[in-house]
Amino acid sequence: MKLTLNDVYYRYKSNLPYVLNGVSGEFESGNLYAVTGESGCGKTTLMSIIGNLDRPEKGTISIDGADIKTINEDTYRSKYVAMIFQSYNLLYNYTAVDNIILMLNISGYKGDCKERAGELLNEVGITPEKQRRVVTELSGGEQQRVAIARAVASESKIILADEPTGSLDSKNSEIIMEIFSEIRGRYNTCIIIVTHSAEIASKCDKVMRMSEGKLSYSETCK
Amino acid sequence: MYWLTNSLKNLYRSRRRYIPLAVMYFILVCGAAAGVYTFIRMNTATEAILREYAGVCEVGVSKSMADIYEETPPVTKDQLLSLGGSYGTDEAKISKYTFCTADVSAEYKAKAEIGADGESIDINSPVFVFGYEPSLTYLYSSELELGEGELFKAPGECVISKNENNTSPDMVSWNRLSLGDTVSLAVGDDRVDYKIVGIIAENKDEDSKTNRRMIYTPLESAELFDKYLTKDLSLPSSSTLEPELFTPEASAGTMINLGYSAVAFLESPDLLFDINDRIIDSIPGFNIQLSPMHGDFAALTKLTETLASSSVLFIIAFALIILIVTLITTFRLISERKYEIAVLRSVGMPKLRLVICYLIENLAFVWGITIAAAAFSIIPARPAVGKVLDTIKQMVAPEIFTAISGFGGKVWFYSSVSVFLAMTAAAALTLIFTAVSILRFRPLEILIRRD
Repeated sequence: MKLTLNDVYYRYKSNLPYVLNGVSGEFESGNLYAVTGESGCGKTTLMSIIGNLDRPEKGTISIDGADIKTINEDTYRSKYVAMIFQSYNLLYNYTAVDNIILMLNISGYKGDCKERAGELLNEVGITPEKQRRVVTELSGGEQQRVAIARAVASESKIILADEPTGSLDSKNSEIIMEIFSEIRGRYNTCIIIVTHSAEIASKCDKVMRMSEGKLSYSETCK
Repeated sequence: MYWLTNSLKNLYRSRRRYIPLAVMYFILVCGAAAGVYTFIRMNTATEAILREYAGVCEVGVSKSMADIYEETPPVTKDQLLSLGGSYGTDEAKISKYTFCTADVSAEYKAKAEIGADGESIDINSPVFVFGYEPSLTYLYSSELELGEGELFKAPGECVISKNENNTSPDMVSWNRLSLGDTVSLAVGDDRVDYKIVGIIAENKDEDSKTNRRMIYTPLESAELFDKYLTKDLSLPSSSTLEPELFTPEASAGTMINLGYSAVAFLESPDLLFDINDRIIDSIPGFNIQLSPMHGDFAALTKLTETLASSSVLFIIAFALIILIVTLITTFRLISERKYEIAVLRSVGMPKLRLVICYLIENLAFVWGITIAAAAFSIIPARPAVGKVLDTIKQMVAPEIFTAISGFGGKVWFYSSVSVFLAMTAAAALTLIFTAVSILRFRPLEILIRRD
């Protein structure tokens, strides 16, 4: 699977300058990407455009050559691309397992959703007892792991993570990165992480830099 | 199935948000439903009672009773026949009344035999004899409020009325009558004996001062005087009346009046008033008596009208409450849960499914509370219903009230229909509002914290 951005332009309002100013790049399965850059350079906007939360003004985003405009918006979000946010964005009145079951139902999982949700949460280190807790009763690191499990539940080939360790301490950050690394290997997933942290970026396979609305490979790329 | 159960689970998950609204809504619906229940229940009961009144309302047309008492015939026979003619021709065709006037110009004499020793007294003033069909006796029992004895059962038995306050010589004599005595009435060449089995309570109203020499007896006993009626009535227009208009009720209401008066029994209370107006216009100088056979007909009619209009107001209020609360709930649900909606949209939840899920959740809340509150409202409504029913009970004969009080099927029908319509309207508006809100929704600004 290959995600291709071709000369993508985007701005929030027509009277504002472009946030994405001709972004091009390629992302492939089985790789862990880091996108770095200064605050306001458009990293998060890039994630939201790839995640189809909004449409680019110009340019194309394609998956294996198919323009994502031709793919149903909901199908794209539930089966092609999964998003992980800095603030987790879980359903906070749901239990951990219910968050995963919901995602499995949205993505049309055919098996036993409850059993699969338990497996996924076990994979990210959430114990059965904690799986039954409302997510607000979990720590930040645990919530982020639930968010990762939700992303994996969709069986998407692309996972977009916007500052996934931004709210976590170094120990939890390390755990999260280990989980990402394991997922990439187990499910052959393309994981794109937006981060300010050089340490996080250093654990990725490839590092890309956003600057003035454009994307380029960093010199620190592995 | 998952989406249905998940939507219902959301009610529990969001219980902190819902509970204050649920309490407020429950109280509102409870109050409105109690009002609807009470008013419709009352209205249905009174309407049914009014229907029962049809055919037993009486209009008396006469000069004042004082004139009769003074034995000064208020009208000549010709005048009375003219009045009968008025009934029998024009009005009969329009109003379908079933019986009209009686004019007995025979001499009268009431002789009462008192006690075992056969002491006799002569009553030289009018005595009114009312014959009642036994099967319809219950209709008249509110008038026959017995102070002593029992209601007549067999021919030859009677109930009389007395008035100790009336000091006229004849009335003083009459008041000496007691249970077991015999009253003998002579009209023309005929004589009829009545054994007193009951005495009506005294001083029921002011009119009783001049009008207490009354004998209530089975129709069979009263019919002995019919020949005087038929002989003297001579209604020139009677042949124009449809035979079927002479119903059993008409016979039951036959008034054998040893004075001068006219009585009509009508099939419809509405027609009663219609005829009344016409008679007033056509026969100047007559005293028109509107006498529903039981209770305060006018008050009951007014009560029914009040209840009917109040019921409508309560139903409208009820519907509005459901609509408003549904919309408020929906608005709150959408506005307070934008984040949740954004999350669900970001993970690919289709808009339509989202609309349906929120609709189920919202309607389950509103309908659940509505049904529970409507059912619960019966508890506070019951004493209110009982109170108003007591009021109605005082207006009508107990037998009628008993027969009517179980009549409540329409209450539930109207209540159900009004609740259903309100809920359907609420569901439609909620669907539109929820759909528009969610379909226009963009999750980007809520979920993404731009650096």
